[in-house]
Amino acid sequence: MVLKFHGGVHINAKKLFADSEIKYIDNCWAICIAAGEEYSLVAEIGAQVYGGELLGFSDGTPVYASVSGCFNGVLEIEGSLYFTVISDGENNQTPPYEPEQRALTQLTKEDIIFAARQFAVMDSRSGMPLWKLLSQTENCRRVVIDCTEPFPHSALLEQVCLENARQLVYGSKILLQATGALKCVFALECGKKKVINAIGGYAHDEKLFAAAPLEEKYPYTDRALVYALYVKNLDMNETPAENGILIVSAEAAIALFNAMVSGMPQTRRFVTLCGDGFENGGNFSVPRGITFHDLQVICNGFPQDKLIVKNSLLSGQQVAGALDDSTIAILAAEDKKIPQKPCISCGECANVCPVKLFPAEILLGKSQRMYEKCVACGACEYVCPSAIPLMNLIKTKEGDSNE
Amino acid sequence: MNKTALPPYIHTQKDYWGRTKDWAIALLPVLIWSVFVFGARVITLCVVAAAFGLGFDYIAQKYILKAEKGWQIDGMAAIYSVLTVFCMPVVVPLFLPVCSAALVVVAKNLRVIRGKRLFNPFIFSTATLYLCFNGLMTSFTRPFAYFSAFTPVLDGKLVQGYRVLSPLEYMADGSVYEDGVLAQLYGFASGNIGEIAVAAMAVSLIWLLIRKEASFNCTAAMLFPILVLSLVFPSGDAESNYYAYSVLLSGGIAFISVFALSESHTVPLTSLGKVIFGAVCGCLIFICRKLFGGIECGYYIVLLLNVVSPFIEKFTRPKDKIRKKKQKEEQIPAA
Repeated sequence: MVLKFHGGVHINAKKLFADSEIKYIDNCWAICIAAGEEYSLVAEIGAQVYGGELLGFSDGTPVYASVSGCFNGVLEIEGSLYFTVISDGENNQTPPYEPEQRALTQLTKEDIIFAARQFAVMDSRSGMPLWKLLSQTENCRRVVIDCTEPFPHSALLEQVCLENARQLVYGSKILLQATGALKCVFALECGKKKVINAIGGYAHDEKLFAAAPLEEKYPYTDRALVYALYVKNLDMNETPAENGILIVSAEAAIALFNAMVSGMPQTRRFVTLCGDGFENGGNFSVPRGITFHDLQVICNGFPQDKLIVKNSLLSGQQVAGALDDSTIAILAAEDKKIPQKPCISCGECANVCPVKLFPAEILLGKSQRMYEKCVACGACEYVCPSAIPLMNLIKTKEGDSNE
Repeated sequence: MNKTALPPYIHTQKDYWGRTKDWAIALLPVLIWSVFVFGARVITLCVVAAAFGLGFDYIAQKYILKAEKGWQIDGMAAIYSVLTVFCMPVVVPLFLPVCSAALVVVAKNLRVIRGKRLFNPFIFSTATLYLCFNGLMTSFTRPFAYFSAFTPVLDGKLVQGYRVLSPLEYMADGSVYEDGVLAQLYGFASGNIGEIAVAAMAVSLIWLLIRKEASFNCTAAMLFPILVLSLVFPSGDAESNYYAYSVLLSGGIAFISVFALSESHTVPLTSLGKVIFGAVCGCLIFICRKLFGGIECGYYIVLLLNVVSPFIEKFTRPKDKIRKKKQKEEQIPAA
């Protein structure tokens, strides 16, 4: 049965690079890993570092070099701070940390949080370190592994799940052990039957694991997932964690398993480069913090006549700097100039709003409620037949009111 | 204002005129069937209505409303004007579609509550014409009596010669339509141009549902109470189920359920609101028909509900649950 939820848009789109194997990229010119407000250095500036070597800490989470080379410290690039390593092209790795081997059932929540922190496992859904997510979750009843794509053209997570089904299931078991949850649910689009079969090959216990095929609508917000799975409407200030639901990206579950088994921190990220105009696009596994300059080299340059956007065509931002921890897709988008026309009160914007707003009310000056609730998903603007920039109007007026 | 370099970087294919095209296609089955049953005069009436609808809308936008950001000419004035023609008998004089177009434009631009339209334009136009030209609007002639397509005002005696009772008028007399419900279903009964073609309207409904212009729940919510109430409270000399089918297929019930309830501006946007709107509409139509006999009161009921539609929407909109967090008092250590 396909699970439905309120809001979101169905976009008829051809999957790009479906069945395209993930290519592993090791060579890059430099890596730039975002540094938080509070950071400290462990490695010396100018020192030679190996892949997997500790560079410092960012907001309490260790930062490891994902390639070997010269550590340049924390530099400001385009207004943001980055731990920067200039690659030597040799990709030497530091010896793995060898933790005490224990059975999964003997691990406590604290052990797993410690490991997730030590191995710097990142959740690409929220862009947060996994250990922080686990720490925030109390009385967890369900673990939801998000296997949905960030936008309809992408087939990255399908490929990731197919190639790493075992790691995904075992990583989920670790999360179950960490949270004490009773069940793990794999949330994915209803078209991903191959993934369901692949996961089913390793997740034999029906009481522990379930697959939740969702209707193909974007975006899959936390509210959408919680409603589709548990028919529960979250309040605006309510998080899934407060309701005993931990939502984690599939990539984080895989990375957690790999890190705990290999003893190596997470130094790689999955990313898809797709859209019309990418010469050598595809699904890639790249060093964490790879720069967009290096990504351009991989795909023979970004198309000049397109906008290069990260994560979503609905709400994504244009790329700048380096690949951050929440970016899993780089897309080429048309710079369409659509002339705006008057509102015809068709109500389409209200139909697709995931938080049940009536975005056209912004045109009538009724906007306070929208400032508070709008999740800037872009669905209203996508469907508006008059091409009114509703989301941008809401966000612009929100900024004005705050000033 | 143009969009550039801001999300979303993708836009639906359905643009400003897309809705108009969807509605124009939805009207085609009914129009084709009406021309088959009533002749070429139907085309003349529709063309006159559509042309004047567009013209009046242009004048209203440019000279009365003085729209600043481009014209709000989306072609829907023509669609609504044709829909009004569908609620007329074929023998009406050609000035009536002109009047209907003017009324449509008035209702189309009458926005009062939260910028939403107050009345459904074609229902407003039809209801007003019924009040002002009741004799002309109820001159039903028998099917396949083709009249001149270009005569502005038909000869009254000629029209009287072909005058027959509509199924609704039969029911007011306590009987059901003599040619049977199948004639009503396929559209061989006497009546208004577009209202007789129930089967064609079903095709239109399917198209509107596919294009997400219509709400199945809203249409079903209107028809279901009428069906149930007709079965429970039959009248006339026919069996209750025959009576129920006859009620559903007579007058403007099918027309209202397909076209009036699909007009998204004047029905609530919420799913529950649409169901309430449809259900109340169905119940009131049945009650009024029982009370007032052969008068098609559906138009006035729709107008009444159009007025309360924003309130239904407000009532059925999901409420914001304000979380009441218990604030813990800080424990001040005793000195």
